[in-house]
Formats: sequence, structure tokens, C-alpha cells
Amino acid sequence: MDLKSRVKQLRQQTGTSAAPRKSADLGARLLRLQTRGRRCAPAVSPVSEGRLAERLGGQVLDQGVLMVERRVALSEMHGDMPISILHHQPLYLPGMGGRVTSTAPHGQYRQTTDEVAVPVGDLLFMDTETTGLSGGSGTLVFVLGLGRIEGDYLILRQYLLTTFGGERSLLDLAGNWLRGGETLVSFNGKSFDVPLLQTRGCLSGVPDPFGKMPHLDLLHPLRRVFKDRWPNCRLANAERKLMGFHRLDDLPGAEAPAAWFDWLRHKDSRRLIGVLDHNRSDLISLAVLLPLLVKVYQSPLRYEADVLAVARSWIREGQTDTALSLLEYGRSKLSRNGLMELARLWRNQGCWESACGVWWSLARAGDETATEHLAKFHEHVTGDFDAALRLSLKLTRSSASRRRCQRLSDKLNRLSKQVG
Amino acid sequence: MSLNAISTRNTEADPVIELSRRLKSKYAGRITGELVISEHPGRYASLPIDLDMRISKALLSRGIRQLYSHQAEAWEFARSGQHFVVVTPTASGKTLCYNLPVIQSVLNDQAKALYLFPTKALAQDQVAELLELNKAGGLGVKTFTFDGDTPGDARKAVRTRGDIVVTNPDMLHQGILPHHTKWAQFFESLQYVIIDEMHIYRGVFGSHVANVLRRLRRICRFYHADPVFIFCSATIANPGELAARLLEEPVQTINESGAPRGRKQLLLWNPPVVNPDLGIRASARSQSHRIARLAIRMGLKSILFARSRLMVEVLTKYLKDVFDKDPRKPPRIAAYRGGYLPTARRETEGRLREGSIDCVVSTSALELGVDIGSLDVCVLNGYPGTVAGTWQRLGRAGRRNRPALGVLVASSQPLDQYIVRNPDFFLGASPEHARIDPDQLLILLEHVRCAAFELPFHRGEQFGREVLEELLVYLEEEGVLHQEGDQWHWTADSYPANSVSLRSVAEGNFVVIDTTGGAQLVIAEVDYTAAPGTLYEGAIYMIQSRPYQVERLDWEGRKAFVTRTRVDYYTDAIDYTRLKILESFERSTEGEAETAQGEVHIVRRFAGYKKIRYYTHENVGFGKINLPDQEMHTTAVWWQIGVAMLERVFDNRQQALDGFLGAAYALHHVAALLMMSVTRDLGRAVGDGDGTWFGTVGADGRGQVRGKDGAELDPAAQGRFRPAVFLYDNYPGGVGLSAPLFDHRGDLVTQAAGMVSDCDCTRGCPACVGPILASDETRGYSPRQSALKVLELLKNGS
Repeated sequence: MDLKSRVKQLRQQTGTSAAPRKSADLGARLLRLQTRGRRCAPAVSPVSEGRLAERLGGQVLDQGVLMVERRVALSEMHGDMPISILHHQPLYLPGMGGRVTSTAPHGQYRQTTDEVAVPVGDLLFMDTETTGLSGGSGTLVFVLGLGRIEGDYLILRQYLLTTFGGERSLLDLAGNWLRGGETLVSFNGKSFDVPLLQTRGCLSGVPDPFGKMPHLDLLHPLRRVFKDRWPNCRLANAERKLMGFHRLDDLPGAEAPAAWFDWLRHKDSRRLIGVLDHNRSDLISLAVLLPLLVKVYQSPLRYEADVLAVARSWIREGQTDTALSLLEYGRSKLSRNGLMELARLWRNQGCWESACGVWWSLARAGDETATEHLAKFHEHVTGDFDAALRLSLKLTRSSASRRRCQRLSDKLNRLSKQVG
Repeated sequence: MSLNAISTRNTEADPVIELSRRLKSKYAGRITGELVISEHPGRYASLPIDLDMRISKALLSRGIRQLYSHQAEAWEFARSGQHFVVVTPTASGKTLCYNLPVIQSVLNDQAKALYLFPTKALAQDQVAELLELNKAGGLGVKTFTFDGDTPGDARKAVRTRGDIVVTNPDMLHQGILPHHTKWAQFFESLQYVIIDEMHIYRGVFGSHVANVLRRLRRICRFYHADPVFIFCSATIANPGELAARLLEEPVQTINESGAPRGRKQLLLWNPPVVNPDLGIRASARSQSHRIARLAIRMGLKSILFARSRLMVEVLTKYLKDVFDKDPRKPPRIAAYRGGYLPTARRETEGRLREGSIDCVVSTSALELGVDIGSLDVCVLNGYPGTVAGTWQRLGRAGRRNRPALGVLVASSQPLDQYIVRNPDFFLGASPEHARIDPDQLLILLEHVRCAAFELPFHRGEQFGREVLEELLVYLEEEGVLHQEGDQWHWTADSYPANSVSLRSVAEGNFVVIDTTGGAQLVIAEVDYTAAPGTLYEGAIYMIQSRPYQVERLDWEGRKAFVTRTRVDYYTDAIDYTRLKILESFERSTEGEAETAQGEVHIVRRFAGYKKIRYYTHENVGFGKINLPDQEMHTTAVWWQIGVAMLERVFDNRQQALDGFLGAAYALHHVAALLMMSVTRDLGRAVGDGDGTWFGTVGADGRGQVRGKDGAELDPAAQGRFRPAVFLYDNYPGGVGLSAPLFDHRGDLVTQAAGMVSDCDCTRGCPACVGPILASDETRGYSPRQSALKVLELLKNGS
């Protein structure tokens, strides 16, 4: 018996493919073949690498590597947004990374934001297409898309692998295009694209330039402020909600691996065009998303972002004033936790009246923590022990609250003795 | 108060000794043997001269001034770069055998080491031990566990900063090797790989692990590393061979322990004969239950090991009926077995450590070093199947310098009976061989897949003993590989290691879903091979001795829907096996007897099930099972006797058939003993070898001949009558059990004949040829004598 039938037989016996299930699989496979047939029919004749380069409007750089370059004018629109909004303001986000904090001593850059923001020309937008989403050493990067601003243009370079043998050269060539000193801008690149490129570099013995760059992964600031507002924080969703950009005829990301495998096995290039288009849209979206996020962090209300999450990001950055003004401005939309945070900031600045206003409104609705804050306020700031005790008595019994009540009545007793 | 407690303990005997005394005086007739492992002085060697001063200091601060002789031997092998295996008993300081050379190389060469333990729990215990030594000497060796529980943000630190990484084969297979580039630094300096509890890596699991090691070494070569492998094993007959098979390179063996040994007592217990004519004994279950009850009443913490999941549930129920009658009180009895969800198992482990459980009833799931604190008494309901396993289970009691008592209660099965009558079996050299077959086609293919994901394959590369290129071409046709020049690259949008479980030939597990009250809750998982025998519609499936009835089995969907029920019975499936010889690889003929080894096709039918009432164990009904026949190709060894000789020796075919069935029974049990496998890993069958008829023992205890459709036939009415005894490897494709059985065919038949001829019964009993019924006395001949005739004929032929 040949190997194939031996394996097939053994498989059935172990339950990996029970007979009835197999026919279901076959049905599913047929269905898949049919949909593919509709899209791809009639069968194509194989395409050479040179012909592929022509079709994609690129050039063969080396054996196994094609490069497609596009110059996109910044005046072009991406959805409702001109790409040029990149230039409209200093690009500065809280938590932007080592670059910002390392060049300016802590707390200083509040007034000098312009100086510490990353120059637009140093941004390197990056997005890859891969043969799988699972990661691991068997996942290959077959499109490495890079973009940067040169003058009034966004220059996009896509390196497409056409054979496994070209991988080393692809990584080398892409590395050569870098100038050094860039800040990487990606979407989920920290946990996906960069580790994958590092893996590929390690396997082909090419040093990896991306792992060492300062890296701004836009997924994280986006998710921080929209995770409770949007059903998901995928790039496509951000495009629709923030840029008014709707993808038409976009190749679903899940089909990218199959597109490349089609090329590899049958020299069928048709879906590769779609992959490159998709990758280009991603890169442009990155360039537009960055300035939009800057705006979101400046005026969260306008974008229906989570004001408290934005404020907290600024606080972590040491910019309490920004946080406070955002919370004050958005007070009507704040949740209970948001109000507590606002009150906390006011208290820390000594604005007791404003802080108490917030606590009172919460305490009236039965909020224990707010009541406790008021009690503390009266005990330690106004010295109105009577009021403090009244408030403390409203709190749920606990050893701490009992101690507080005891302490307050002692103080009151002492006072009345002094008076008496 | 504490003073008082101490003085009481001094004046009165320790409760464990007291229990042993009571058992011995009350049940003297049932105790067939008592093993006291006597003290044994240690053999020592001085600390190696080249041992780093920091390590010597750490050892001294922990009171270690010299090494045991085996530890010193291990040092020499490790330092000279030779792979070796250490075979010494529990608590003989085997960990120093590898910790010393590893720490030395970490301190002096910034080397890295990888520790593999079969389970997560063991890995954690090991880290604790290393940390202590490290702390004692301020050595600064960084040891981390890397397993499924390691949080994502800690993983990077483990990869880049760990000197010693402790993990298990499953994690190496799914979490480390497929991401080897992230571990590049680690692999580049990898100098030692430690594989503890090696004897666990046998059969299917061992065959997988051997392939994981092939992958590991392939990755090591990529990073130009060539680590030394150190194995540790419980006592088995062929440790060196197993290690060499796992590694595919020569491995040195250290099997003389220099450690002193403490006292340990083991009672061998044979249940009383209740029917001398039939040789029927009281059940092991009733005896174990009795001993456990006594131990619990005396305030001792005990563990009761049962051999099957079903028996765990039955015993738990009986003990709970006695000790957990009040539902308002926390339970004193707990069950522990595979198939329970991990959270439930962790909870039981925790309660055992706190000491809030008085008795745990468990399968081998607790045999390994899962930390459950110290117990006083260990009762084995039936022989665990291996001497190594017996010692490991007994090691559960008396870990912390307390006297410990083990009681091995024999069941009526031949192996058990053999063991309790031959206590020397425990003391002599181990007869147990651990076997693996890393080239089992399905297993090999899965790992070629995983390996291709990790690194492209090159033409001319070796991986296993099949022709690699043929496998690669097959995988290319399957669409997961692509050949470019002399290389095969992974080209699929998947992560192959995730679909390969090391603990089975293939995935296809069934989930058990509780639908009581309209909910849908997954309560257990069952292996594909075990499913037809446990999850048929009507079956009672038990968890913590709570019965669930299987309402519906979705065979294709791999789901069993169950509901809570209240019944006073449990169910046991009845199955038939039909077998056909496809090809014989090896053959040995002597006189009238022929032994052969080859490939067979097996059809297993689950015909129905019995309902068995609790306590009385009477049959209270039957049910039909409607399941597709289970087909399997595997390897087998078989014995046949010439037709003419059979006719000369036996009066009629019925006698010959009974003789073959009895011989099969005895051979099966002896084979399981030699192959260190549970009887379930091997199957037995009697038939004509071309699938036209097969022999089975009917409800009346007599042999029957059944045809293809399962209908009963008259043996006399058959044309040619040439029965054969088959022992087959009970996994599709086989995992390498039948070839060694063929090699040991002489021993096998001799021992089986000895087992039958030395038995105390008159006509046959569960201890030799299988149970016979009272009505058999009317048979006019002894089935036992028939079996003996068959075995004698085979003996002279082998």
C-alpha cells in the first residue's frame, strides 16, 4: 500500500476523519471550490515574474523580490480627510514613547509640545501581509509595505516576495530604504508585524532594523479610548468612524494568504493585485489615523471617545492640567468614576468647593465613597466635626467607619467640654 | 498542650503501625506477603574537585558534605559530555545528578538548560527545589517555569533571562519550538536538556515525545548547539534502551543508587475465596473499601488508587455513602481522575494539601508528583500494572519521614494473582520493558508537519526512519508544503502544533454535555477510543460518583448529551472483536506450532451493555448499543497450531476453542506485564485469522464461535478449524508493541503456562484462564486443562 492510502486509512480509524464527517468536509470543499471558481474562472495561464511586475506597476528588484512604489499627493482625500492633516498640528500623543520623554525632562514639554513632537518626515508607516495570523516561525511576510512623507507626497513602497528564495534580499532591500532615526507607526505592529519580521530576519540571518526603532502602535491609544464605545477597534472600523472611509471591493484580510499561495503554486496573480491595494489603503489609513488620534486626545467629546480614559492618559503623561480641563469640559457626559476623578483632581489643586460640589451630588445619590470624602473634608479641612459625624454615620458599618465615628464623637465631646 | 501531644505519641504506637498491626492480626489469612524494605546504608563520594566553590558552599549550607555514589558518577558523565540516564528509586537525590552539572555550566559558561517534566505540577515542584539551592548559595541562577500558566508579559523574561527553563513536552511542542526564533539566545547557549520521569514516555505518548526531541535537536542544530541529554527514570527493565530510542543515540546508564534507604512496609492482600470450586474470590473492591474505611476511622489520611475511572466512581460512592451522608458538612471523600475539568482537579489538590479531605480515590492521574501533601496510607485496588507504577503510587504515603503503609489488594485478574503470590517480583530486577515507536506513521507525519513549520526541510535531511521525501511530497499534495529548489516550505495558514496532542494518536475527543434543566454545560472529555465503550446511549456516566445518563450521542459532532439521574446501577459495555490477517512480517515455526507477527485488520463491535446493580453486582438488565463498527489496522502477534495436532490432542472443537480462549486470556495478561502496558493497550482475540469466525466467551462461560454478523455458529459445523490466539496493539497503526512481543514469544508462552499450571483452582478461574461458571462443572472437562494443553503445544513450538 502506498503512503497516501496508509495515512488515509489510519486517520479514519483514529476519529480524525469519521466517514460521515468526511462527506461534509467534501461538501464544504466543493462549495469553496465553486465560489473560487466563480471569482477566478476561467482558469488563468501562469504569469511570469516580469509580467507580474508590469501588471502591478512595479519592478523586479532582485530574484524573488518585486517593488511597487506609489507617490500619493498629500492633498488627496482619504474618505472625508485630506492626508495633509498630518501637517496641521504637532503630532503628539500621550504615551508616545521613549523619544518624547527622553529628549525632554519630565513635565517640561507641556509648554513646548512643538519641539518634542516627532517631525512628520521621521515617521515610517509600516504594514505587512502574511501567510497566517497565528505567528510562529512558519508564518511568512510576503508583502512588506512602508510609507514616509517626502515634501508634499506620501511615498509608499511595497516589497512583494515572489519566491521563498527572495526573502533575504527583500529584508535587505527594505532595510536599505531606511535612513535611520525613524519612528515606526503601525497598527498592532508591536505584537504582530515586528515580531514576525524579527523571526524572518533571524531565520534568514538578516539583522532586523524594526525592533530597535521607537514604535508608535496606534492600536493601543485607539483601543484605550474607544474600547467601550465601539463594537471593535479594528482598523476598518476606525476608518469608517473617524475618516468616513469605506472600503469598496477590498480583499478581506483572511484571503491574503490564499492569494499568495495561488501565486506560488499556480502563478495565478489575480488576487495579488487586491492584496497590494488593501495594503496601500492600510498604510494611508495609518498616516491619517495618527493626526486624528491626536485630535481625539485633544477633544475627546467631539469624537465620542471615553473622556475619562483620555484624561487618565494625560495624567500618566504628567499633564494634569490638560486632563482637568478635558474632564471639566466634558463633565455632563462623565460617568460616576469620571466625576470622582474630576473631584480628585480639584481636591489636589485645592479647589475644595468644586470638589465638594461633585461629592455632594454623588453622595445625594447614595455614593459611599463620595460621602466618605465629604466626611474627611469636614473633619480635616473645615473642622466641622458635627457634619463629619453625621456623614460618617451614613456609611456602612465597618471597623474603619466605627473608628472614625468614635474619633469624631470624642473630638465633639472634648470641644463641648472646652466650651462648657 | 503540644507537650501533651508529643508524650501521647511516644507512649502509644503510631496510628499507621497500629493499623498495620490490626490488619495483620485480624486478617492474617488474607495477607499473602509482607515486604519491609529494609534499611540500606549509603555509598558516598566526596564532592568533585572541579565543582565550583559557590556550589560547594550552597551544598554545605544545606548540610550536604558529600555526594551519593550515583551522583558522583553522573557528574563525570555530564562533564565529559556524554548523554546518560539515571535509574534510581524515589527520594534518592536524583535531582542533584542533573542540577550540579547544570548549575556549574550556568555559573562558568553562561550556559542554558531545559528541564522537561511530564506534567506542569511536577515542573513547579522542581523549580521550588532549585530555588532553595540557589538561595542557599546566593548563586543567582535564574530558574523559570514556562507553561500554559505563564502570563504573557512574563514570557519574554523567561526566554531572554532564564538560565534554566522548566517546562513539559506539550509546551515545548506547542509553545516553544514553533516560536524558536524568539528563543534564539536560549538555544544558542543550550548545554543541557533534562528529561525526568522518562519511564512515562512510553507507548503513544513516548512515541510523540521522541518526535518532539527530534524537532528539538533539529532546532538546536540550526543554532549550532549540541546539548547533553540527561534522563531520569523509575526502575524499568530497559532504561538505557528507552533513552537511546528517545534520543536515537547511545546513552550511558547509571542504575546503582548510593542513597541510603528508609523502612517501608507493604502488605500484599488477597481477598478470601468465596467459592472454592470456581476459584472465585471476594472482590478487591470490597476489600479496599474495608481497609480504607478502617484507616479513615483511625483518623489517617489515605489515598485509594483504582485502575479505571469507573472504579474510582464506584468506590467514591461507597465511601461517600458511609462518610459523607450529611450534605451540610464539607465532603471528606473526593474523587480525582482524568476527564474532570482542570479547575475541579486543582480544587481537589488544594483541599488535599490543606488536609481537609480524609480519603481521595484516584486513578493514576495522581501517581506522578502532583503535590498533595503527605498521606499515611496508600491502598491499591488492584495491581497498577507495573512495578514502577506500584512504587510510585506507594510513594504517595509517608513522604515526610512518617511511617507509611501500603496495601496492595489483588483483584481476581491473573496478573494480580501472580503478583500477590510472587512477592519477589517486587524485589528482583524489573521485568518491565517500556516501548515506543517514533516512526508510527500518523505520529511521524504530524511531527514532520510541525517540523516543516519550524524550519524548511532540505533535500537529504533525515527525520525518522520513513523515507522523508515521500512524506514531504505527501504533505505537498495536501497543500501544506511547497517545494522550491531543494527545500520544502510551510505554506498553510495554520499552526500545526495546535492540532497535535502528544497524549493520543489523533484528536477526536468527545465532550460530555450536561443538559439537565435545559442548560448546556461541558462537564467532561472522553478520548475517541474510549467513547464507544462509555458514551453509548443509555450508558451511566459518572463524575464524582454522581450518575449521568447518556441521552443522545452525536457521533459525528463528537458530543454526548447527558442528564443527571438517580439510578442504583451502573453500566458496562459488551464488545466483540473480529480480526483478519493482512500480512505477516515475521514467522517462526517449530513442530506443530507457529508464531507470527504482522499487520491485521480489526473490527470491533459494541453490541450492548449490562446494567449492574451497586453492592450486589447482579445483572439487572441489558441494553443495545447502536454504533458503527470500529475498524482498525494495526500490528499483532499470533500463535497457531497445526490442524492435525489439534484433532489428535482434543476430543472436540469446543474443548480446543475453550483452550484457545483460556490461553489467550493468560497470554494477554503476561504480555501486558512484560510490555509495561495496561491490558487496554493490547487487545486479544481468538479467531481463524481471515475474519470468517471469531471466538468469544458467552454468558454461560463457554466458548462460542460467532460469524461475520455476530451470530453464533456451531464449531463442529465449520469446514477447516484452525483457531489462532492474537495479541494486537490497540492503536491504529500500532505503537510498536507487537514486534517485541514476537521477540519475547518464548518467555511469554512459558510464563503463561506457568501461570495456568500453578493456579490453585480446579477447573479455571479469573486468575488463570478467565472466569468460568458453576454450570461448567457439567462440562465434563476442565477448561484450565484445555488451556494448558494449548500453551504446552505452543511452548514446544516457540
